Amino acid sequence: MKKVLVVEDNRDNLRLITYALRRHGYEVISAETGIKGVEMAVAEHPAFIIMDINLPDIDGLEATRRIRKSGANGTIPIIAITSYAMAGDMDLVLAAGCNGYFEKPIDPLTIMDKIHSLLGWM
Amino acid sequence: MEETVTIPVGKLVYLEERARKLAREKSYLQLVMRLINRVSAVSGLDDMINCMMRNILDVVGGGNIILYYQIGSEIFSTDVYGNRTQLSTIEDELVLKVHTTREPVEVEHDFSDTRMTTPEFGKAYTWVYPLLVGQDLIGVLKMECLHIGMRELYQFLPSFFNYTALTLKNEILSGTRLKQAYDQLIEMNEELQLEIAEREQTEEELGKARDELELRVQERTADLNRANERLQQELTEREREQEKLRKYSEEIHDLYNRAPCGYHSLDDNGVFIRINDTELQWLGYQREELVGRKRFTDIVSPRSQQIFLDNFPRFKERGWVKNLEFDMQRKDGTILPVLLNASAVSDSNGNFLMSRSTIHDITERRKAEEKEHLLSAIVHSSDDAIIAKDLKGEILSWNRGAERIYGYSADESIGRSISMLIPPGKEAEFHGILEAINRGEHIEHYVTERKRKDGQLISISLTVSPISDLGGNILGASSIARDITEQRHSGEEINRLNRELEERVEARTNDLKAKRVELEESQLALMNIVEDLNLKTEELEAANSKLQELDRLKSMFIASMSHELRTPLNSIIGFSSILRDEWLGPVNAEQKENLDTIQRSGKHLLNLINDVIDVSKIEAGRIESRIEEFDLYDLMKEAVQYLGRDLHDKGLELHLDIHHHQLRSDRRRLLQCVINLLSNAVKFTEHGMVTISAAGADNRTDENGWSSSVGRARPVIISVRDTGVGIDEQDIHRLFQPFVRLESPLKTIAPGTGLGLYLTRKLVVEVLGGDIVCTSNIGTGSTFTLRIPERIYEKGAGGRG
Repeated sequence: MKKVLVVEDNRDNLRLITYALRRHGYEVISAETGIKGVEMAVAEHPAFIIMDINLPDIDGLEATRRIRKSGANGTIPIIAITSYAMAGDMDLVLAAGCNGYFEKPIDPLTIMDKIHSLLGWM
Repeated sequence: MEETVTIPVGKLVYLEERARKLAREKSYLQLVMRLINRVSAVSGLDDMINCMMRNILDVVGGGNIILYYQIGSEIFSTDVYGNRTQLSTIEDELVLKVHTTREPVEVEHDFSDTRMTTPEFGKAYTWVYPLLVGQDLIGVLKMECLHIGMRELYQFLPSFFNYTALTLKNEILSGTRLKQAYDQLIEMNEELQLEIAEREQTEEELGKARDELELRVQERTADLNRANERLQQELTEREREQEKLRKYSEEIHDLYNRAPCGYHSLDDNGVFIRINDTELQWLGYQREELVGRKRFTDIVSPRSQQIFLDNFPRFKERGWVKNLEFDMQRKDGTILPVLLNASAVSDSNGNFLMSRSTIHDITERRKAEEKEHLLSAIVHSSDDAIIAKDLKGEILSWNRGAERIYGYSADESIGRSISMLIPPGKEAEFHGILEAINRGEHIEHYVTERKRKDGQLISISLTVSPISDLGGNILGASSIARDITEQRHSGEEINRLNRELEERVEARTNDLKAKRVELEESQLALMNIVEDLNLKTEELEAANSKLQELDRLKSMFIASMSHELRTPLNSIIGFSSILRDEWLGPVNAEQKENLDTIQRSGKHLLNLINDVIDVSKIEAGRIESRIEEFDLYDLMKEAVQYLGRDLHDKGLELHLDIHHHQLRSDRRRLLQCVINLLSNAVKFTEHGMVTISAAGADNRTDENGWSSSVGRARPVIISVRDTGVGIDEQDIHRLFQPFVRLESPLKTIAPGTGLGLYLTRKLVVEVLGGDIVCTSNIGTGSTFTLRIPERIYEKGAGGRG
């Protein structure tokens, strides 16, 4: 079973994403802070990472940069979850090292289509 | 096959001998070849001779070898030691003999007395050999003490000698040619040197001569310059004198011609012989018209002709004439009055030669005289009494008016004191007037009384002015008096009327003053009202700005609430959809319906919140726009997909007329607008179809009366047409206002926020820089068309780019 890391501090969103991922056969591991997310990314070698941008300690952009620097996870796909208000800052997201992004709100019925489309696994 | 030959002994010896001889001869020949080679390797006469001698010595051995040879007319001898001697004559007899006969000579010596006593070499000889080239004798070679035994070898030497002779000749010849050329060169050089020396000498002499000449030229030049300078000085002086003379002459001429008076001279017959420019100018004649052609009498009036004829003979006799007045006639016929003075010029015998006349223009004097005459006529005929008097009051003139008013004749009055007119009691006034006159003051229209000759008192208006001479000294006074006895009576009546008028004017003025006070009061009241109004306006403005501030706060509040409101709503929608889709286990139909309701209500609420937030952002001026490149076709497809399910659920037909077209705009906002229009179309249409078209438009099609907000950029037109309920024409203008939901049979079943079109229009105008219009008919459907610029550049978009 493929392992996916979800870094998201909002538990409702985390649960919705987890439902959707499990339904598609993924094992979900999660972190609620950026630093924890970086640790888990290095330790667990997930297949890909879903990264919220607004996190309580370091934000998703910084977490992504750290993961990219860690070496072992230099090429792991990272998909950012951005908020509506971030429109226009997408260049920052991509510059930090994310492979793609989708915007909130999270619709559990369609989220996997978006993720697969971004990962190019469709 | 073998053959045996028998040879006799003697013959064998001979053959052996012969073979040996041949071998010897061969070695001799080889030797001669070597000699020739050696000599040929050397060049230059001396080296060649040395080489030859040494080699001969090597071969022949023996004693001395001497070579005699001739270069030009000179004879030289050289021995094997290299001693060369020039000879005046050849003294050696043997050599001389060979020189003459050109035949070699051999002389044998007996060496018995010498130490050389070997029998074979006991004899020696001297060999003198001519060196010949053809018939030319090049030299003579004398070889002493040759050994007889070596003769066989020596016999081979002549071929070497002949070669030597040839070489020697060549060397001598080339040496001679060189020498000749050298000698010639030397000679030429000497000649040249000589010539050069001569030339140098000549040049030196020339130089000297030139220097001398130059010196003399300089001296002469200096002389000339001095002479020239003197000449120049003289010339300058002379020119100065001439200039003086010329100026003097010019001055005289000028004086004569441009004098302020006329000059002329007449001959014995009164004909002009000279006349100056001034007089010509006065008369308007050219000089050549008068001089020698006209008599004085030709250009004066007939009366003056007589005066001239009367005076000219007397003048010639007496020699002068003074102050004669003539009326000269100008060329144009007008008269020039002149005063003439003349003196006569006579020869030593007293015969009259010519006149010298000065002419003065007396036009001004004539005019003055005429004016004086006129003035005195005026004064004389005036009705007013005009009197002149001196400072003491003595009467100087008395006109006819004075005679009439005062009753005294001029004769009676002139010379008497003016005091005769003063009535009793007015003496002080009279003296006051005199004093005022003394001070130079004027008295005007002074009304007083005077006494006539008959003693009757009369009222007069008196004007007295001082009379001054040209230097400003007061000489006396002129007085003009008018009899106003009659006028005085009517004057009093006028004064009364004036007073009445003045009273009325004053009354009227008082009235007006009262009115003005009233006016000022009402104006003051008005000003108070205006002030009140201003105060109220200020209050209103303050209230207004407070309201604006509140409005801004409201917008900010709503914007910041967005996150807090949307996050839980998203959860409601998300989790209900999981349940609804039975991810966590089956749900029954009733539960499903309830979950649908939750979801629908959640989505509606989310839409409402999103719209409210967008509207408030726009109104607060905080809308963000994100300009990017995209394809119109893709965008329209996305919008259709978004509503595809609703279209399908309602069984509506969809007609698409969309094309690929690259845009640069805010994709997200345009999508929002199109989805809004499309969802409206679906919402309000029960049957029929929805038609969507999108394309770049031609600028010229403007049938919808677009506002010009799209500007110069090429527009893109997107329209959404439905076959729905339609909108009443009078309601169309209300469509785009906030929270307006039109009365419609569908109102209850079609949910809406009342913000959709308002927001759409706001976005189209303020973010996309375009415009939106609606055309509709009740029952047949509506068309919403939006027109936006194809390309937006950051500057034109609201918010951050």
